[in-house]
Amino acid sequence: MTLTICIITKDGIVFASDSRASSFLTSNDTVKKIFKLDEHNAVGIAGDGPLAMHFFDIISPSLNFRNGISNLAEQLRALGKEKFNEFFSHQNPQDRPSLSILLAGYTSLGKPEIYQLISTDNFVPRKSPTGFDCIGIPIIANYLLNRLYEPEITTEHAAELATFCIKETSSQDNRVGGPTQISTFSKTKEYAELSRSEIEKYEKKSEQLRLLQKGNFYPEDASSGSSSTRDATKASP
Amino acid sequence: MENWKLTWTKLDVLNERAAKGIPNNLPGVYRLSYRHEDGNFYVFYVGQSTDIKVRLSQHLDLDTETNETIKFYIKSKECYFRYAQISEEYIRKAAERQMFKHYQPKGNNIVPEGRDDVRVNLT
Repeated sequence: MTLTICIITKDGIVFASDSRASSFLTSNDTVKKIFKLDEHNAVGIAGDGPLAMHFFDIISPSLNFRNGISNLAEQLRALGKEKFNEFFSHQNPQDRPSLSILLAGYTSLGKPEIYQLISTDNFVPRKSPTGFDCIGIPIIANYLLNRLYEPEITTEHAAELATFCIKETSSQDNRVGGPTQISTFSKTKEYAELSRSEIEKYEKKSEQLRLLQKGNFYPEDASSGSSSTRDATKASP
Repeated sequence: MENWKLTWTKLDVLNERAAKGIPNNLPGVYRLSYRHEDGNFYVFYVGQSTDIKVRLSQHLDLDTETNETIKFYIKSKECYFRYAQISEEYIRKAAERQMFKHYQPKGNNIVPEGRDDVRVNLT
C-alpha cells in the first residue's frame, strides 16, 4: 500500500511518498510513486504501481499543459476512463484494479491546485479545498495535516511536515514504509527530486518532532522512591 | 532482551543544597520535573551522566546552562528531580533512551542513542 501526500506551500508545491509496495506475502521498498508530467505539473499515485507507470507512459505524450491544471485534470479524467475501459473491458468495474492519483500544478492564472482522481470513481477530479491532500492510507496524515498545516508554510518545512506524516503513519501501519521520496516545483522553479541526503535530514528531524509532551499523561509518582541509592542490578529473565 | 532493576530515589526539590547532597562521582540517569497547578509532577527533561551531582549543578547554573527549556522551568517553576545509580554506560544510555520515549520531554531536543533491547524500570 502507499501514502502519497501533496502540499501547497507559500512558494511552491511538495509531493512526498513512501516507497513500499506490499502484497499479501511480500513487500519491497523501492517503488516510485511520484511522477513528473512537465516542469510545473506532477502526479503522485497509490494503488497498482506498475499499472500507474504504464498508464502515465502512454498518456503523457498526449497531455496538453497550456490551459492550466483544471484542464489537465479533465484530460486525465477522459484518458483514465478511456484507458481503463480499454484495459479492463473483460472485468466488471468493481473487479478492476484501483488507481488513485493526486495531480498538482498551476491554473492559467498561476494559482496552485491539487486534484484527486480515483479509478473506481471514474476518475472524476476532486479539487482539494484545504491546500493539501493524501491518498493511500491517509488517516493519520490527514489528522496531522489538519492540525499542523497553514498556507504560509514554506516548501522546506512542508517537505519536513510531509516526511513527519509518512513516518508517523509507517510507525503504525506496516503497509507504509521504506525511504521517503520528495519532489518539489513551483510556478517558476522546475520540478526536482530531492536527494537521499536531503531527505535523510528530514527523516532524522521528524524523529525529534513530538506532537505533545507525552509526559503530560504520565506524571511522576511522588510517593515512590528510595531514600538511599543502589546500583542497577540485572533482573532475572 | 536484558532487564535491569533500578533503584530510583524519592522526588526531591531541585536546588543547590539537594544537588550537593548527592554522593560524589555517582553515575546514573535522572529526570527533572516541575510541579503543575494540578499538583502533579511533570517531567520536562531526562538525562544520564557519569556524575549526577556535577550534572545537576550544571543545570542549576543558569549563566552557563544552554538549554532554554531547562532554564525556563528552573526560573519560573518549582522543580524536582530523581535519579537512579547505573555504573554501566550502555545501561545508562538505554535507560535515558527509554525515558525519552516514555516521557517525550520538552527539554530534550535529540533522541538519545541507546540499545532498545535493554529495559529498565522507570519507577
